[in-house]
Amino acid sequence: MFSRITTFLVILFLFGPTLLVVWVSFSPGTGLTVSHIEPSLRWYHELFRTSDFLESFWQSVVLALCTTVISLSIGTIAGYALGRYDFRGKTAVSALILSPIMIPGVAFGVGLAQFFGELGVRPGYHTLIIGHVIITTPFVVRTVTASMLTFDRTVERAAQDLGASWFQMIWRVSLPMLRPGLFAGGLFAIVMSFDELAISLFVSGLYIVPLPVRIFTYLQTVLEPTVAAASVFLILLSLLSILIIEKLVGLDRVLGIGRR
Amino acid sequence: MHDRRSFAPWLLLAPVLLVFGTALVFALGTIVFNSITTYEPGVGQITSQLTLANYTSFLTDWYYWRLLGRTIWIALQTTAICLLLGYPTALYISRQTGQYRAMLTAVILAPLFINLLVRVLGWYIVLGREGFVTKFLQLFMKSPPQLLFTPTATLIGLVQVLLPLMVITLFSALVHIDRRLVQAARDLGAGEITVFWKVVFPLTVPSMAAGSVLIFVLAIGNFAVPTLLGGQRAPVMAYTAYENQVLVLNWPLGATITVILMIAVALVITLYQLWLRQSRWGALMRGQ
Repeated sequence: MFSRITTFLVILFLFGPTLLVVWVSFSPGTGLTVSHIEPSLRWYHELFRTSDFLESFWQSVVLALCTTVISLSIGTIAGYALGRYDFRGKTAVSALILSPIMIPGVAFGVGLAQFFGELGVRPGYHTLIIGHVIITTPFVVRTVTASMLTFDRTVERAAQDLGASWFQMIWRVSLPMLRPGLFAGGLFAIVMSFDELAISLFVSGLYIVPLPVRIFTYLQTVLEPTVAAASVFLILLSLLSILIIEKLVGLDRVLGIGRR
Repeated sequence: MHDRRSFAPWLLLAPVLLVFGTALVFALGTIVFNSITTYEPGVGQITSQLTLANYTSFLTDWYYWRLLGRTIWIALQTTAICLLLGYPTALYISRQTGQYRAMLTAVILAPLFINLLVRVLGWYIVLGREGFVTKFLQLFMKSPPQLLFTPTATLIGLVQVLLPLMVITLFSALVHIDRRLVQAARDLGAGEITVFWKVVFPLTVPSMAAGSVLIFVLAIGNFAVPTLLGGQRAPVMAYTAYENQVLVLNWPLGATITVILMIAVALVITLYQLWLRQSRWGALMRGQ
């Protein structure tokens, strides 16, 4: 009984404030208040009138796609190597690859900003992509190594015995077997890149401003329901990605729990 | 089966090692190096003279001790609240079956996919000056206390952001408990409460520790939540690092703060691993 009540309070606590964001986005007034009765689309008009958010949205999309393509490529082969082979220095290598999970984003962000600053590298897509690749790759490696656990190596051997070349074996046997892991890792990378603030804030310049950085700046300067209207689209996007993930692989599997 | 000295894995790992070896190692190397340089005000330049001045000024200034203390204290409170709320929730979900359980886990996990800033914005609405908690308090007191931009606001935000991770960690431990142990305890005459405290709870201690370390580490390093909900009125290490990097442009001090933050994280993880190696819980975990 007690645990049941706690669970429902926890769910309310997790979702309540987010639902209020939706309500506020339809506010006719200028404050972040919930006391309106008549809904208005004022802030949605405002959102599309100022092109800031839209521009940032597309920049975030480009960033997330580039990041995912790179981290999926380098992460998959690394995950495959870690899951398949036993070699000297393996523990150290996997510790290095997984370390960004535990390193505070702000530390890595400050580090990258100072590193680029001293090299004289101007901020732009390239600096953002490097930062995002490093924080998303560990998750790709982890999901791939997780699917390597249930990987049947005899199938690979059979392919080779039947005359497949190494490349044919990887392309037609190994990769298809890793598909759920690749899919989960890729989706996770997209969501993470789209959400990243701590690193983006330090390595984005004046021209490329990812959506979280844009929202951060708005929250610190103009607190108007425009941000709430923008948030509603992000919530819809999140719901869409949750549905896709749940249908295709399962949320719990993406996060590496349950259904073992 | 494979030669341990084979070069095949290194070939496959080369791209990752190239990216991580350059960007990650150099980024962290840069801040370690910059933390032992000094800053010339107004110029924004870093002097080439190496010195421990940043560390001594950090360690001798009461302001920074309070900053470090506040950061750790908020992270500890976050961890404790996540445990207290997360355990009953995980327990309840683990006792459900089928579709209902799947739905509950999806509901708990869903916030992890909602943009962090959207969740933070929700607290601006709840706790802000025009927010309904303030409005509600106004019914009872003339000037209700400010809620936003306080350590409490940061704490509430961190709990909301990190709680799902604690729930899934504990849930996954609870569903993997050997049913036969619970059955055996019941057969030997133990009541529900005894079964929980003597069998179930002890078996989840390793996961409680793992979850707590995860939450603590993520809480002391979190940037978005304390910056937006606490801000400069309730600064934490991550905020002050940002302030020095972006607003004050004192890079060496910003570097020093992040180095100290990383040392704190490394210390917690090391202590946890020592504990795992020493305790009987650790032995249990390795045995599993």
